Amino acid sequence: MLRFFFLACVFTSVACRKLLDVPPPQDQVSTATVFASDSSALKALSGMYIQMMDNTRSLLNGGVTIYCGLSADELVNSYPSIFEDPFRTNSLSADNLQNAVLYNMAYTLIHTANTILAELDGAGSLSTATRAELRGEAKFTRALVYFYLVNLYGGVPLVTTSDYATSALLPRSSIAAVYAQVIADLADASSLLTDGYVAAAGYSGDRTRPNRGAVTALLARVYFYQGSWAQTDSAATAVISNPLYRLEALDSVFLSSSREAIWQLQPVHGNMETAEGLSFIPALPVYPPAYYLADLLLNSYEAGDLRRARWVKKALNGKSYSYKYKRASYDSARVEYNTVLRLGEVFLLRAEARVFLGDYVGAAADLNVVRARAGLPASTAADGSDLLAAIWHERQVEMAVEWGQRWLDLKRSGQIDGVLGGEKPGWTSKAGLWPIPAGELAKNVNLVQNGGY
Amino acid sequence: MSFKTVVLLLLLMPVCAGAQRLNLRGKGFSFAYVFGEIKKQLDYDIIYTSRNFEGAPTVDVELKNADIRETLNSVFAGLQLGYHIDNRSVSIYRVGSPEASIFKPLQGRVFSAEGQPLAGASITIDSVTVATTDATGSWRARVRSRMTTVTISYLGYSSRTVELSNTVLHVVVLQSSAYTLDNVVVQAYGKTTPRLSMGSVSSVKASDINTQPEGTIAGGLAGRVPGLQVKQYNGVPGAAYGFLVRGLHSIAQGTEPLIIVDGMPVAGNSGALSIIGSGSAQGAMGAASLNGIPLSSVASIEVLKGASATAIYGSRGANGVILITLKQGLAGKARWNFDLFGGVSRAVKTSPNLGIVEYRGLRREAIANDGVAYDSASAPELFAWDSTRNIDLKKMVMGHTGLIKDARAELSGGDTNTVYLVSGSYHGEGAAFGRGTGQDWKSLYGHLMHSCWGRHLRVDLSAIYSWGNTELPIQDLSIFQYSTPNTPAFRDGAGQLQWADHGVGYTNIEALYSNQYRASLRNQLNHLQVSYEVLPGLELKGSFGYSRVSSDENSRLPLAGQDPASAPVGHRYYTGNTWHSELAEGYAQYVWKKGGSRLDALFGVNWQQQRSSHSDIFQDGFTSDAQLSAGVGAGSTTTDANAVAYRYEAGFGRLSYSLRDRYLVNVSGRRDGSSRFGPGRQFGNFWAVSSAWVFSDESFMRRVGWLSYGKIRAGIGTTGNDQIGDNQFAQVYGNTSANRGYQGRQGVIPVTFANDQLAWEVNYSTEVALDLGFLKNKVVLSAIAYRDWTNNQLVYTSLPSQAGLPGVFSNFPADVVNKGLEFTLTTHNWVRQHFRWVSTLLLTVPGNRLRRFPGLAASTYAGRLYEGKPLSEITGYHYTGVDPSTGLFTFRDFNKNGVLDPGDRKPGGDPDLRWYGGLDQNFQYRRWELDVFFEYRVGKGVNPLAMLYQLKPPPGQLGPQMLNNGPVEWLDHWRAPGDGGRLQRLTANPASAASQQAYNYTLSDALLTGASFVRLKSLALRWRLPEKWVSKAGLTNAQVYLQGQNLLTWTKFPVTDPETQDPTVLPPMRMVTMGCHITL
Repeated sequence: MLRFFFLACVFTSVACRKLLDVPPPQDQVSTATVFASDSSALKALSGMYIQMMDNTRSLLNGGVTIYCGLSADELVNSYPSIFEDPFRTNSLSADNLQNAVLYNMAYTLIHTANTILAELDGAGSLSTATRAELRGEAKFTRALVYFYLVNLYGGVPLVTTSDYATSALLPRSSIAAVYAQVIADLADASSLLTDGYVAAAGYSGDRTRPNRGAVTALLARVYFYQGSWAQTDSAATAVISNPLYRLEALDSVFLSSSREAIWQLQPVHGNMETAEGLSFIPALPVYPPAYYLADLLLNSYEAGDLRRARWVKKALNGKSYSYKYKRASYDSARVEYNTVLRLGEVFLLRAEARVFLGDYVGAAADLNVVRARAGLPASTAADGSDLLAAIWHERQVEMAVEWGQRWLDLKRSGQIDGVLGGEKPGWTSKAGLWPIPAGELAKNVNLVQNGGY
Repeated sequence: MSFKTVVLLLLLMPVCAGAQRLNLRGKGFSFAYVFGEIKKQLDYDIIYTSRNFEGAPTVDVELKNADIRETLNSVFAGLQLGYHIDNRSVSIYRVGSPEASIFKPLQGRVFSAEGQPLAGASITIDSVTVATTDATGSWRARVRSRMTTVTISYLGYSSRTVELSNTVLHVVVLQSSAYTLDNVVVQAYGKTTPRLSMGSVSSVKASDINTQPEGTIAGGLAGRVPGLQVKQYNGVPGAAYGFLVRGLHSIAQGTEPLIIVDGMPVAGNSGALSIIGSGSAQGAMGAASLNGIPLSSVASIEVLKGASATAIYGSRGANGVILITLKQGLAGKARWNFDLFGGVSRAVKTSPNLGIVEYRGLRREAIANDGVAYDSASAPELFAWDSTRNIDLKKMVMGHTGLIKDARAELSGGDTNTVYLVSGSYHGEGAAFGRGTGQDWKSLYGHLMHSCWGRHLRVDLSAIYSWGNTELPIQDLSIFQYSTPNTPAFRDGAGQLQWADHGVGYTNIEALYSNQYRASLRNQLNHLQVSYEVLPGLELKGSFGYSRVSSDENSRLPLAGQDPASAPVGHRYYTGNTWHSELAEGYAQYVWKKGGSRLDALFGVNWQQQRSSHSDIFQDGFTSDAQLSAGVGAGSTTTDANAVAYRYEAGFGRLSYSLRDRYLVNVSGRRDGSSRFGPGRQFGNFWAVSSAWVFSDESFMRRVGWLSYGKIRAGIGTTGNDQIGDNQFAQVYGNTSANRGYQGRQGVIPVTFANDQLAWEVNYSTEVALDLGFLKNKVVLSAIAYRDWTNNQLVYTSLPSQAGLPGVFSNFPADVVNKGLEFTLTTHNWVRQHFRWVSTLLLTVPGNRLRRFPGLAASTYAGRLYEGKPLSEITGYHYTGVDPSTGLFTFRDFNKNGVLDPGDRKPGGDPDLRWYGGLDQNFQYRRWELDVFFEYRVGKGVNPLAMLYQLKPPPGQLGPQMLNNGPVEWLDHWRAPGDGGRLQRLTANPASAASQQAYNYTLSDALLTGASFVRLKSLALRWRLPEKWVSKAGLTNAQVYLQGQNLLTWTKFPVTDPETQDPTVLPPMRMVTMGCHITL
């Protein structure tokens, strides 16, 4: 009997490890399983876009638009808020919670992309096409997020791994190093992605997955921010000459069916419309708009600019709000999408690049394409500096309250101290960069705060 | 060699012993079997009338080389049978009258030393209870043989084990034992007595809680076990309690004790039953899973503390173990027991709220203080609404009387080989919210014991099946007692709900009753234990269990309960939860005795699996209540589901050695594997060593007359804690919850990092205990000093954003120390023939402290935990009273920079209990028994006034949603310069300095206030009906009883009850019940 018992013990101990095998919780999937088949690997990609669109006013879902709009001279918040007021008054402190949320979302998305890139190396069973889609779109996402990080915060830690032991304590990289990574990622993405848009059944025509055109448009913008005018010109030309894209009428630019759109993000919750629509349009007509347009922006429209009529709307309290997106309420028809990249911007990128390249005629032509769509006559600017001023003004109204273009333009063009110093009391030039959140500095001793904070 | 072969060999052994001589050894043989053996071994034919043997008892046989006469004499001893041998045949005949049974029962009477017959004493043979004494102390039992070893035990008396024969009527006298030194208590995988125990095992008598008004085990444990803190979160029926054994051991992980019912680990009270999105009035912890164990099925509850007692449970022993033992049947003729009781419950008394006159006064005072403008829209209750209306909202939302109903029926019986018990019970409790809210449970319980093969094999099967229903509001309505006392009528003349008066809206409390939470709960527990005695002293046991706890929760927020002017839509929540556990366990127990030495050995293996799952549905946007009821036409539907599995296995062992019951040593160990840890880290070893010395038995101590018992014991060991989330070690993706998906495809996102470093938290536990008995054990004192330190703490390490995820769990070399003292003093104050008075005083002095936490300042715990302070230490400004000139709260400016800032926030005390315990007084006078139990706690608690400043600030602030009434404590405030007052000036302006200081008050050490109390926790009065009446009515026993719970509380705690502390939840219930017990 003792022998029997002994044998039972031995048997049990041999079987020990086996007996402890359990499947992961149903709401979790082991990483290996995710990358074991094309269909589940594509869910990792969906997850990345859902993460972008999960919360209203998170980084890529209205966050850049609203908080850059407040920091620049575009938006005013109607309701006092200890988190939002400092953006408007350019008095952010390092412990601002909203700033921490934006910064955190950037690295969350980078981690999602990095994890996809890391896991693809070991995922032998995926098809070549899926592998290219995942790698290309992850790199595109990483580039897009780093582009905003470097513009909002300056040189940031450059994380390209999913291993926290390596990434957690990295110091800040130089601005140039971040841009080099962005350009390298976009070059890879361009070679991996196709010219057409990938869309699931029932979503055909949607431009919600980046294609080579989207990569090229973002690349044009990145070159443009670096002052690489020739590369900007050629990248922009590649997009403008692509028959997939054409300027739409003002009311159709932000529709899900827009042909002007180069890349859009699809709202993911319930029957919700875009975060911009929900944030800007009052839920009931009697309510004041949560964010209204600053007088300076309202006053900068030329007489007869259709954009003043079509893209701006007046609330009952007399304040005007951004009306590019026209739907605030729920609609299952997916009428409007969050438009990240569009042809209108690309024309203006090329126009400015051409000024610096000395092609004033070409520059004016591009500028006037955009003006014509807004019902305005051709610009009278002829020489370089007039053209530049005209283009910058055009960017202000064409790209108003859209993806922080104004905030970034002011910084890029070196006008920020001049313009905001005049408009905003208490402006200091340190405010051009938002602070690295205090929590980050506490958890990573290698980080250095931006000057002045 | 298979199990079957072994058994067969053992049975065949006697056959091979020799011809014409009989060898037979075993217990519980039927006559037919014995006669068969006689034929087989001795070759005699037995001639008998089978009718004579109908209902005959089984016999125990111990024969070696016996001839036919020796065999028959032995087998028939004490039976009214004779025999005649003729050649190779034996004829059996009866002696005595034909009506008489062929066997004589064993019978006797049991008295106390004072000469009182003891009713209810139990008579056990081979650990099966075969009889209990009736009111005259008499008992009878069918037995197998002429001489039988019988153990007679009675609570409060020393048990006696005696050899009795069935030829005489035995009178046994039991000596009262002041301390239950020799009472059997359940310990891990076995039994012991306090006299010989080497670990800390505290036992709670089932009789103390069996018929308590509240139908939950947890409520009955409060104050009755040293070292166990029971926290009642609210007084809502069925709501979960918190248990804490010897303090908080873990910084970030679970602190629930392991709960084992009849050997089967069950779902703890961690909210496994309630996770519905809408919440319910039962609060964040939801329903207690333990409620499915009917109190009527509980035989005893033991709480195991410290590694000496719990190391054998290894990785799950660190937070203590609660063992619940279920009832077994009573051999003998079928016996019915009935219990019926009913009563009422009401929330305990808390501070009354201000009446309308006082309320108005405070409101005007606040407005005058700030000189703010007001009108009928901002102060509607002064100018628009009927300013004299004064309704008692406290009574309306939490002042209802709940009914308690309880009924039980139990049948048990059997013979010495088969004992059964079946019972059914119903328990219902109404909630203080009124309108049919409350909870009820129905349960069935059964236990079957069968032994065969010469009683070598024993099978125990127990099963509980219970189902309950909960009907409650979706939130605790108590918070609405703080609405304005002149809130306009909730219904108009036509009985329709109304939402505004003079154009100003208000919260319609009546409508809140439409938001209903309904849950149906199920609890199932099955346990089978098979034990086989291989050799004398060696027993093999197999144990198999299945337990399932499940609930279906439904919440509805219909349109009927919402203001039609707000364009309402209906919502509906559904959650289905299931928790399963399966257990397979095998172990061997061996007892070896020689001279005064005794060695007990135990070795076993165990495998367990737990699975839990839930699925949720949330439907929104119903435009009519008809659609809502039918569940059709939802505007949107969100679903969510999860299933989690957990596996666990262990090998364990224990060796106990005792020499002359005086020198005792115990070693136990366990090797555990858990699926919650990653490859290579799954296994952990845990051990304990303890020893005891009963020094009072030494010759040099015998001369000390006043000391009747003395034992000193000490133990050291390790236990673990694996109450961490599942799969934390693996890099996994989690589902996103976007119901539209991206291009229709659902997504997954990375949620954790791969973390192969995760390992067990280890708890090192030491204890020293001294047990003393004085004056023939009339006074017994047990004192325990313990010190536990928990290391390798599994804490959440927060990472910078750039790492991509918020953080990672990792083991930290942080030490949490719990040390304390536990005292139990039992005194027999008075023991005479008709009067008996016994007191038990319990005292626990706990202490908790974070001893060491390297890297604390850089962790997420910075500013929350402090080395050298308890884990519950709060951080806040230091409150320095009300400034008599400005009337504002003041705080110390530590850093002297003129403003209050984070630099002025310091550790500000803790809400841990300093002392706690209970005092039980038991009086017995003739047929009367009175048991009075006081619970006391000394320490600080969360100040309800600070909580109210946060949630329901004092009358003053303008605007319809700010119209707060409050408790009378608000009256004690500063009014004019030079005033004292406990609280600061009133304010109507949310931007005033007073509002800012009120906010700072909630962030200060004023958050803690004295929460000590003494509570008359329970009172039970019983009266046994006179035997004459009882027997005339054809009954065996009858009692009537009156019970009360939470009857009185003495405390200085403000506003609400010092145990629940939160002024916005329902305080504990005061309950009074009456009932009767009948045994047929």
